[in-house]
Amino acid sequence: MTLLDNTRAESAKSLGSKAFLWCLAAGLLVPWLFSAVLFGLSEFPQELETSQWGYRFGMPFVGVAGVLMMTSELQSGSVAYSVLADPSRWRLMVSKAAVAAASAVPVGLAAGTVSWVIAVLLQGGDGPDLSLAGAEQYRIVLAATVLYPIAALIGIAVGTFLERSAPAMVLLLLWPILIENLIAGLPVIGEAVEVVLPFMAADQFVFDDDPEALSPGWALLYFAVFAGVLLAAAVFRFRHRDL
Amino acid sequence: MINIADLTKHYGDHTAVDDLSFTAAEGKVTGFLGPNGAGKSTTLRILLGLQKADRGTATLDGRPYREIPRPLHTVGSMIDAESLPAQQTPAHFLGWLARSNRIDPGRGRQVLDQVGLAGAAGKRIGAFSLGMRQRLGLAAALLGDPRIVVLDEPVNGLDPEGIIWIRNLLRGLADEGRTVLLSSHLLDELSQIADELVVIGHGRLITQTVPELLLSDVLGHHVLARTSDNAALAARLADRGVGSSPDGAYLKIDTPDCDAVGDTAFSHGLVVLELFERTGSLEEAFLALTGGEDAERDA
Repeated sequence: MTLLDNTRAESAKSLGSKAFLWCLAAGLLVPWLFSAVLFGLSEFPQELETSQWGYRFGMPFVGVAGVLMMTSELQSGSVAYSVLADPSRWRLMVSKAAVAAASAVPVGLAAGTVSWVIAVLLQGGDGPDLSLAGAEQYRIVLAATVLYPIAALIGIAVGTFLERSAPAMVLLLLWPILIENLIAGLPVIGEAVEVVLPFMAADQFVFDDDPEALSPGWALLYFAVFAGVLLAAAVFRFRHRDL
Repeated sequence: MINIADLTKHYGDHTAVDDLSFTAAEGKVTGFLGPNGAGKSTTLRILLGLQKADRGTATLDGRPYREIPRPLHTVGSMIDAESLPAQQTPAHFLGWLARSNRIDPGRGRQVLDQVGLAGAAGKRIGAFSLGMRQRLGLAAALLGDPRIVVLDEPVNGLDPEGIIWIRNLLRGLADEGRTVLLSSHLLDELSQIADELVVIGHGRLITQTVPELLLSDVLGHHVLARTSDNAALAARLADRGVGSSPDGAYLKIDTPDCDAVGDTAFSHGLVVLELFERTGSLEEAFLALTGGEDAERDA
């Protein structure tokens, strides 16, 4: 048994699942839609950053794709068949993580770049320069390519812990969009804990809009380490779980 | 060869498997019998590496499941048919299973054909009846052409035709020299399929025997007699050291010897109306083995 055999099996399993593919599709379409609406309907010319606003609402769907890879099996008990095929549970989890992350990379790439193309086409020659003039502009447009796979890994971890699709999906959809903003908005403590909120860090990587927060590079590293720790804990949990 | 040795598993305060030891040999169908909740599934799940034992070992050809590389080539197993992936089709399900263990992708179609599901290869598993799921579970077990086959309650949900079919299939597998272990709470079906029976209750081994001996070992052979005065016969038999107990209109006598009972009755002037030898049914044997414990638990 090799990691490759398992990864092939996991990719066959995931790519054959309509729910998984729909989540990835939402991860693409939501940012495109945001870009189209913001640039198509706005009366004022928009900045380059605005073309990527929609990533915030697309990325949770990629996380949900990761969630479903675990919960669809844990909830029904069919995970036992996966473990029978390969009793090495860490290898099984690593294969799932690899498939989730690898599926999310092209989705993130297409989400970011096509959102930008939509912005350029709809804005025309007016207003701020939307061209990819330097490293900063490339970072903004390609950020989703890096962030989406990390979100998929977080989804795998959350799915492993919660085991049920519904609560895991609700948590993953609400946490980045609603809960982190609520926490950050709390008086006194909000500002203090803001720096450790993972999806705020992801935002900082894309937009670099808070001079007091981490630099984009460190923010990305923090988001990745957060996902890594969560995933490691999930692997530990899965290895010690009776099926 | 399957070897379970001193296996123990607790769930909190509840002991699901209690110092259980038994073997299942090559070339034989071994039936693993016990009432619901006796610890059969837990034992099989530990054997298959899905759960961890608190103590003891469970090995297949000398190795724990977790140490068998590409295990589907060595061990084919069928667990709870309800947990098959409902959203997938049999073709897809067997496809990724085959991929994970480098099994020829064409095998999926072969085993579906073997279990009579070739026509349903593209249908959603969620729409299957229990009997169809059992057949699919069996197909998954046979996918890697394994030397050892472990089946948890494979007879559940099968119609009579299906039961005959699975009996012949398992007999064929055992005759090819494979080790076949299947669990059931249905003694009748199991005694028709199995060469050997492992009976457990409350996680403990009660007996490992062949189906024929299960009857005489557990229930023994009795003589039933109906006479003009059962109580008098009982007293005369007791004088000779033979035990007996009333059983409706009959006296149930703890001996297989009809002639001796007839002689005793005749020599004391009792009129014998009926006299015959009887062994119990398999169900009676099963209840005798496990029922007492259930009664204890229910009390």
